[in-house]
Amino acid sequence: MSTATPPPKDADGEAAFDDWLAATGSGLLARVESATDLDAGCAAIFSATVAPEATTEGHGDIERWGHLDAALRQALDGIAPWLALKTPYALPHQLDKAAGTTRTMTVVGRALLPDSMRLHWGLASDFLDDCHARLIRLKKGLMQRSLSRDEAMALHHRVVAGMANFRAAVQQSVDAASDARTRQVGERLVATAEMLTLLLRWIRDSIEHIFDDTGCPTSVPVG
Amino acid sequence: MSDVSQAQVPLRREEPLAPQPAVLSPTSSAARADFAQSYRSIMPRLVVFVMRHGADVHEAHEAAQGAFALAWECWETLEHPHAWLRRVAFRHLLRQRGRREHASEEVPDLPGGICPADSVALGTEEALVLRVLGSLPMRQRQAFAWAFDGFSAQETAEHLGMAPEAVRQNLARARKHLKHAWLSMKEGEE
Repeated sequence: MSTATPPPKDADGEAAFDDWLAATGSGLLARVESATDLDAGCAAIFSATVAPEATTEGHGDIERWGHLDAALRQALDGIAPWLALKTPYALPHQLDKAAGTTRTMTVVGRALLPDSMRLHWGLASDFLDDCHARLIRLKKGLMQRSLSRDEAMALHHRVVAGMANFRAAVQQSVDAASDARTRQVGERLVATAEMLTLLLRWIRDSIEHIFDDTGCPTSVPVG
Repeated sequence: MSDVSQAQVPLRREEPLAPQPAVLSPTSSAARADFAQSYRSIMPRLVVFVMRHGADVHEAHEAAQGAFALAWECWETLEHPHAWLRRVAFRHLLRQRGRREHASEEVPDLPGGICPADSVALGTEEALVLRVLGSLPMRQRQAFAWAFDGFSAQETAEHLGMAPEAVRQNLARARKHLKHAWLSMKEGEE
């Protein structure tokens, strides 16, 4: 769908005219392509549909339950738009999303899981805190270009491992839980962790994308 | 270029400018990946398509970006995204032009939020083609732009709500003007 529709060729120079039109069309397209930042444009559309997360610890048991449960659900749903993107422009948003989600999971788990699970949750939330801190370090290091490829990938690997440990810890406590509400929170935390792990795969691809052959990152836009 | 805002273009009832609010974004990773891939491959062509209607590069980017922002909200339901994007981008252009006639009104933020285009330095011959197209009646610009992007007269007629014969006539007139400019340019070179 990129060439002119040629009419019957004749001696009036129609063929040469069509060639000229095609050449000017190709030239114009090439200029527009080189002047257009497609990654930025695509990321702008993706980011426009991502609702900001609002996680505050409210008062009143039922209200707080509903609010925090909805916040966790929203955090889980909000991961989807950042999948399938591996660009420098998406990376800051992906890292923000991942870090924000770990924070939401921490707040929700701390507030909604019963005291009987405090021991299990303490272990799990340590993994979450580690993941959050490493994601922040990763973003800062990439934006300041102070991380090598190996350092960035090592940080990323530790986040993935931390998320796997978190899932295992929560899953174990969910299996042992007797009341439905605890199981629901735990299962939602596990589902969010699984989605976050999926996002981490795309983050890894975005990280690889910004490093050239020298191992130095190209500039990462401020998210 | 001034008649863009006055163009008589039929708006199809079954295809509203605002998409259905129920679908906010593609639900599957595959669809999102498909959208991202399509954006990269179609966006530059869509910008050029809008430019052939008399828009400058920034207007064209704005219109094309707006069309993709709407497409994002209903991507999985689009049967013919190439044609759909062209129709919607053109309508965006008309709306932009209409909005800017009211200079006292603030221009609202558009979907997407940014114009990703740097300035485009056109070659002499590319500028000539756009200048000639910009001086033509809108129907001729439309017929040329759709034909240049590979749509048949029949397809163009369906998308523009015209008779196929009218599309052919408008295309022939546009080509005649362009050819005249081409010949004049060649004579000048000689």
